[in-house]
Amino acid sequence: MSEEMRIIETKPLDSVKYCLVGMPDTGLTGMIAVSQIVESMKLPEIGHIESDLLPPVMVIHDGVPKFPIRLFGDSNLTVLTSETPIGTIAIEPLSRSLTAWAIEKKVEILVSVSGIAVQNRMEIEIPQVFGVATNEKGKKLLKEAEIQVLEEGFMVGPHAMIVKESLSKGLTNIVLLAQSHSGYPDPGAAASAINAVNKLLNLEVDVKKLLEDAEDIRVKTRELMQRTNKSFEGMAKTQEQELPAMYG
Amino acid sequence: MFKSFDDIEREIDETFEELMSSRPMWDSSTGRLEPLTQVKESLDKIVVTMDLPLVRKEDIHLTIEEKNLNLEAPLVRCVRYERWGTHSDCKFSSFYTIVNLPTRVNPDKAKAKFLNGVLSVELPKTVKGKKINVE
Repeated sequence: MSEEMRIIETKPLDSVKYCLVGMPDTGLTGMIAVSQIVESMKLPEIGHIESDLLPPVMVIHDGVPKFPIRLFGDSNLTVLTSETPIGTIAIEPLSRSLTAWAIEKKVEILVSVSGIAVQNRMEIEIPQVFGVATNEKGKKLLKEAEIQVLEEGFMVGPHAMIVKESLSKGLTNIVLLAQSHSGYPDPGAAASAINAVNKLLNLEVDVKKLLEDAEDIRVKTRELMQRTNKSFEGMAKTQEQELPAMYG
Repeated sequence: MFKSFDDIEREIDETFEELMSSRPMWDSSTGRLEPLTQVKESLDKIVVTMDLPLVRKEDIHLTIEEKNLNLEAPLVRCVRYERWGTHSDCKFSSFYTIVNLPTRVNPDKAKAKFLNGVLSVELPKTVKGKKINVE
């Protein structure tokens, strides 16, 4: 585990079957999706991440100060999410620590949930979800779950670095990318992402409440979205929307 | 060394932008929220989009001045924040913003649409680029 980024387990687990990651990113899709999964499955808090590379932020819930990046779940499913954007400087150490922790806990599949910006999102009723896998096992799982593979494109942000670290460590990492608004919170995209997670990990998380609460979520996550958009400025996030330089 | 007027103007713009992006997106005294807004400029037009959840199309009040786009839109119901920070109860009832446009536009040719809670306003530029013949 990276010394710069420490995963602290307040309720230690010997092993973890599946690990889901959803950070503030495009359309806050991943964060909204995994937060809904935590709430719906009533997953308990089991740890957090400490690092000098993270902003000096603590959040207060029900009068209790909390670390902004926290772990929830049990030995079947652990979820990592954050209530603050991860700055460029912290992404690589976080990805190193997370993948090392996943190997230590014998995680079978590490699933990152995120959004992929599409220009015509306003016209899309039900966003489609695309998948990227780091190995043949992951590709087979995507195929079984009928999730279309992203054939060409760029990934920028925490999920891109998790892919990089998973490739070098031989870890099965699947990235689920739901078509999203680029700069607006997108609960609709998060609902599509949850449906893909359901198929991939055999869960039964209902998205009805998420869709009912979508407009309130959009109002209440404006400032996190604004801060996340600001954090993208240092990481060439717009490259995700560039056409690939194909000449072969 | 003295700074040029351009440098001073750029510094003022940067400071203003920094202040705008770091200030709160709400005002509890007026009950107004500021919407997330994106401004994209192309060769012949400016497109402003805004995320306006809890807003009905018929309630959107949009006006344009020289280089400003003004929006006011009441929410279909108040948004409440209970036990938030030092506020025991905080209520918001509308979105309000003034968007500074990067250049002058033709208000008579402006078009707006509202789909799935996102407002998109297309504003053709007044002065389009002058064509240069390539020899």
